[in-house]
Amino acid sequence: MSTEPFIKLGQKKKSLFKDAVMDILPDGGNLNMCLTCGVCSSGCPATGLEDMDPRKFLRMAFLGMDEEILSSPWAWMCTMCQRCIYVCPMKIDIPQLIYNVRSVTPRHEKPRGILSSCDLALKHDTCSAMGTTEEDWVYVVEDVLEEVRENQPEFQSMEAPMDKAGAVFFLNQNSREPVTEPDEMVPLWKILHSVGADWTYGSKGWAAENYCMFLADNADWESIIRTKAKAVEDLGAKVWLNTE
Amino acid sequence: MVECGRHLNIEIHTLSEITDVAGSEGNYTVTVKQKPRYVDMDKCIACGSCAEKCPKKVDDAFNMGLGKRKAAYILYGQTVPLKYAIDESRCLFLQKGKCRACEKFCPTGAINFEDRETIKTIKAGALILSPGYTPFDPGQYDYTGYKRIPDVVTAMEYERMLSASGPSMGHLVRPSDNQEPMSVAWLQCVGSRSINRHDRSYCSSVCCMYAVKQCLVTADHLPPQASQTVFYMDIRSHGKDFDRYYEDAVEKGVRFIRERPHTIDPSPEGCGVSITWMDKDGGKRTEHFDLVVLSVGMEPSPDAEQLSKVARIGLNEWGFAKTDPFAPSQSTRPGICIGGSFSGPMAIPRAVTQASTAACKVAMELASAKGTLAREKTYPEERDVEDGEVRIGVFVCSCGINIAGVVDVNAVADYAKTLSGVVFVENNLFTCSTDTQVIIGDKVKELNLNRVVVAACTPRTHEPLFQETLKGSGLNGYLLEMANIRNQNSWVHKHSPEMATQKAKDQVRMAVAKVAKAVPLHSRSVPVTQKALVIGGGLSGMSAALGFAHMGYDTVLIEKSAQLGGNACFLDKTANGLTVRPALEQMIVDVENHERIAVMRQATLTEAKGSVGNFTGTIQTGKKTTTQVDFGVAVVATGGLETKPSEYMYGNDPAVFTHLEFDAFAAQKTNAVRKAECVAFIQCVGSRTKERPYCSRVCCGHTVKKAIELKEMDPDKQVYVLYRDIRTYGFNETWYHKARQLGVVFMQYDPAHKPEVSREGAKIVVLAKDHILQQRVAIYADYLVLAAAIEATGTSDLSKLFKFGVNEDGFVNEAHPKLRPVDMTVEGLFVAGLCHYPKPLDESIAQARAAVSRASVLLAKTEMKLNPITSYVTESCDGCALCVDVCPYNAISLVEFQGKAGLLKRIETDTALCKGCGVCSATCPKGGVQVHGFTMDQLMAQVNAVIKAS
Amino acid sequence: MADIFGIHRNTVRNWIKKGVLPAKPTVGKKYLIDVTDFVRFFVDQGISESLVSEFVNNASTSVSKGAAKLISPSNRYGKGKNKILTTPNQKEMPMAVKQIGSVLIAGGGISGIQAALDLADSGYYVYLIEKNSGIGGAMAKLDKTFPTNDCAM
Repeated sequence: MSTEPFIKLGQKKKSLFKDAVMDILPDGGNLNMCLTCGVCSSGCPATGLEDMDPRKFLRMAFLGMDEEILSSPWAWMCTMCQRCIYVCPMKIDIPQLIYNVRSVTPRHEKPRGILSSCDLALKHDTCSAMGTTEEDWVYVVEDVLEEVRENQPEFQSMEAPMDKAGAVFFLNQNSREPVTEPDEMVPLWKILHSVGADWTYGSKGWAAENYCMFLADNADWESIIRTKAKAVEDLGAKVWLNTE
Repeated sequence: MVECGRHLNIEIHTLSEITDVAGSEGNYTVTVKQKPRYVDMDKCIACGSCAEKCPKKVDDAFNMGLGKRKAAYILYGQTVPLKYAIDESRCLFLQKGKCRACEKFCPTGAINFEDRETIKTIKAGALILSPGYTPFDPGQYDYTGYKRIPDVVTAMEYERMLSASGPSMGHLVRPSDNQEPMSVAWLQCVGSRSINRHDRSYCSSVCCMYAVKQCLVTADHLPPQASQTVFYMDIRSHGKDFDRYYEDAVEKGVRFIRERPHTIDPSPEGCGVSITWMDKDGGKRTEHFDLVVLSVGMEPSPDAEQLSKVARIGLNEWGFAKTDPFAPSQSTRPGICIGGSFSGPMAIPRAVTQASTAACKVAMELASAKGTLAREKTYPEERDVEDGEVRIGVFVCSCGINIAGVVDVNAVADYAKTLSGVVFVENNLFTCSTDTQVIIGDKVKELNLNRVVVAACTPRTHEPLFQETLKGSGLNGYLLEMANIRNQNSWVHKHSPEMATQKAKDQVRMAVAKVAKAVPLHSRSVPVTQKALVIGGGLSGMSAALGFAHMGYDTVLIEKSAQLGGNACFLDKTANGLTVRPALEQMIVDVENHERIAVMRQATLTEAKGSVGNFTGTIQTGKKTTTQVDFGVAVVATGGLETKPSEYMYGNDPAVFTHLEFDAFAAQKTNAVRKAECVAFIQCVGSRTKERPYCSRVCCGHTVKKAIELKEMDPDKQVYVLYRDIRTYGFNETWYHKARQLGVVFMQYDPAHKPEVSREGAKIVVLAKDHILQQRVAIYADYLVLAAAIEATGTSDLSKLFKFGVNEDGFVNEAHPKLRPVDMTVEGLFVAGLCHYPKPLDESIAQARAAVSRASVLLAKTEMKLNPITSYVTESCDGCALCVDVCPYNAISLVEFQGKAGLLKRIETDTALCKGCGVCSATCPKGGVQVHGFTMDQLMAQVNAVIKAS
Repeated sequence: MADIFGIHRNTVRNWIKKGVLPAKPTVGKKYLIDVTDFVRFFVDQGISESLVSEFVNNASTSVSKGAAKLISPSNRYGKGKNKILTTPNQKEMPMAVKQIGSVLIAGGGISGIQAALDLADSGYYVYLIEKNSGIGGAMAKLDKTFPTNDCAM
């Protein structure tokens, strides 16, 4: 019993990670308010992974076990579904706590898949996490459109505009479809065509996903958003239709 | 309710609301708007024909919308006044000009569609606002499944489902398929202790206990394999006997799980629900339940806001009335008092107490106007029943399903008809209701009945009620006999209905045999000493003394120590953060200066004689001086003390304190406490143990406030609280809320694995286990503060003097935990403060005032009738004096007198001291002393009746 | 005060007499008024809140004959002259208002009923006002009460 490791408590601490997060959240995200009731954990899809759940995670942060929570892979298993804060009687912002744990992870230690997707997205103005270039994108759209016009006579006059200035809607597109399943882009074009919407794709800033946000890298996230926003503004579109 | 309905000094105005309050203390003019009932109350006999014939069905709000009623309706079966009404908003005639069926079928022509709204003004000297509360509506909490899943109900709906007069007549079935639910789950804290979606951060205080109650009642309704499960955060069983009740439920197999589930899902089986929660091993666990009960909290009445505007009183942030801890029933406006749950969520005992507190405050203010408008009750002349045949009426009560659920009441009634002397028998649903009193009275007169048997509950509940009914119909009240076929029958023979029915018949036969020999009894009147004695000079005692004094009664206040103030002398702040000392000092000044209060210090009561209205006490001050005091009533307020713990290094280490000790230390050595890095608290030290299986109620509140103070001294200070359940009930919950906000760490410990305390150099080390991480922790603290248990003082000695009851924990017993929470079992004695049960300052003052209000009911009469159930001496007494020694009340004395043949001896009994216990009669070998109402003749008749074959 | 608020002295006196401005008469033809009542009343009458607050803040220095003397709630239990009387001190009521020996109780649940019975039995006449068609309140809806398992009736 006396050989069991103890958590030592009682000394005045240097600032806890939890305190740093509380400083940037409204009402401190209520991170101190936990009643340890368990509603969060019983509804969390990541409960049980790494022997962890939101209540435990918050408790460790609360008790100052910074090293443990900052190195736990569990922070990357959260789906950000927000089921926890939805029912929490104290409205504790666990998702924000998790996000901030993610953001202080050294970049090279962040999950490889997400990291490489973010890097790819930063490479071109397309913002595509698959690294798709502007030329490839424009080509795929034209190609698929032509095929539809040929094989489906009722859609002969359908358009899939690219860089149309002054259109009302700027439609974005998840990178996966143009690369692996290009036909999946078409149903949306048909809907917009049928209702007579004035829309356009952009050759720049067209990718809908934002892996830099998932990466919890605020600077890169901002950079991606600005690229996309500029693309919309440059075309003078009024509404940004976000498919993510 | 029945008492209210027939009290000469109470005028009930139903369908009425206050629209304006003008005037000031002592002189208010209140405008009351009364909606039309459309039924003439003088003509209505509550036969129910109108409702039967009414074609319009409406959701029954009384049954929480679970059942239907008609547009012509009665609120519920036992309401007062027992009259029907027509719901204007739903009546077909009043809305659309059609129907009028009720009018056609009413046998007395009581329907009156010409009825109109009336406005009246009422002049009153004071107001009491008691609009009550409303249960929280969980509609917003979509994850509870309420309204979406049929087998999810609120606790109030569940009460109706369980009730004999409810939508399923007390047969417990689940809404989806009307089958019995074999597994029921309760979800606690729905709408309380939450700031998500809206601010309901307070604790509703009653839900833990009502859930436990519902579990046990449910277990009664269902077969033994049925299960009850409660999902909770803290079990708040902080009241008198509450912990015992809770532990009893645990032992009976109710599952209490300290986890809350995220969402209630409909069960894949189609009926019932599926609930998932965190299991002990760290994973999720899912189970099916047939029914879910949401323990919803208490919110202020929907009328609260309007009422507060009209009466111009202040409300707190959640809409409850603002009151002052030192004047707990006082609203923000003098002359207007608050009663019951309008001032905050509370259970029935506190609501009843607080109602009396408000009554006391009002009586204190209107003392000069007392009696100016009151009316006296007169009874018809008593009929002579000595001659002629015995004509007995028997009323067999079903008590809803309390009796009828086990005993075949019809069979009992039929049997009663066969008994000699019985000329009338009836079965009632509730013999105690107003309408039945009228029936009894009518039957007595109509059939010339001269004896009455009521086969129902215990005489302790309603005997006085039935006696009043007899008196009101011209019969002496003691021509009544009750057969207890509930407590002594249906309640204890639940599983043997046939034998219970036979026993009920035997009980009725015995009662009939006894009552046949009953004779009218008349009581002597004695003057009521217009003086009060208050025993104990703490806050409770002083509040009581001031209460009596302001009502105009002379009061003697005795205090065993040299100073007044009791435990309050050691308290720093109240619940609301007001400092105690100034108010305490003011109260002492008021008490010492009031001309009607005589304070005796270093005084104890050494002897007490007499009975209600006429007590005599001997008070000893110092070593020898004694004083005799006559008093009509007494308030026992001997207080309590903080015990000394026997664990956690207490007494062996200078840094381990009790709460009061730490308060004093922190006040003196503020710098040392300011510099401390870490302070730890351990709750429940000596409470909730085998030796003291009760909760000391005040400690959790005190701890969180102290913790807040420490954090406010220095936000970086580490504060740890080790607890079993945090019991910051009611608005105290907001302090627990604030303590957590400031970063205080709360860690639950298992009583089977208590924290271990040792010293390591400059620090105290507290070894415990974090209940969430299941890892051991070592807290290095500068100070350790223990929540020591509270015990009552002075009760055992005093109880011997007055012969009142004290419970197994040493606290004074009240006459009835819910309905008479400040009356003691000995008439004329009232209890207040810590000696009744641990409680915070404002509750002590409230209880003391309530005790005064109840006592003043006795003092209001200058004369009172003694209970005629007393002993009397017969011709057969030969002065053997065996009875003199056995009398526990010293009511018998031996006298000598000159007889024909020489000096003779006989006994004399003092009817004022005699309590009618019967020990003398049982001891006497000659029938020389008997007890009125329990003569040997009567008792032998009962014995013979029970032996005789039915 | 009347001048500051732009009304006539008699208007204030009439309000007090009518009872719409709660005020307790005291020695020297002065009145004791609770600050909260004071502020709420005059704001209700349409006097600007800032004016009222300003007056309240300066009140202790401006007491003239016939003026209202304000009591600050924080002084509620302090020793000294400015006391809110939650227990009536007979010595401070030379112009005693004639008290009416009746009480009006709003709400006929268990609390209202208990208070009514206490007062009615002690010598007061009670008006029990209930919004529903019968008394009983929430407790009447309960099936059983613990620990005695008595029926709520």
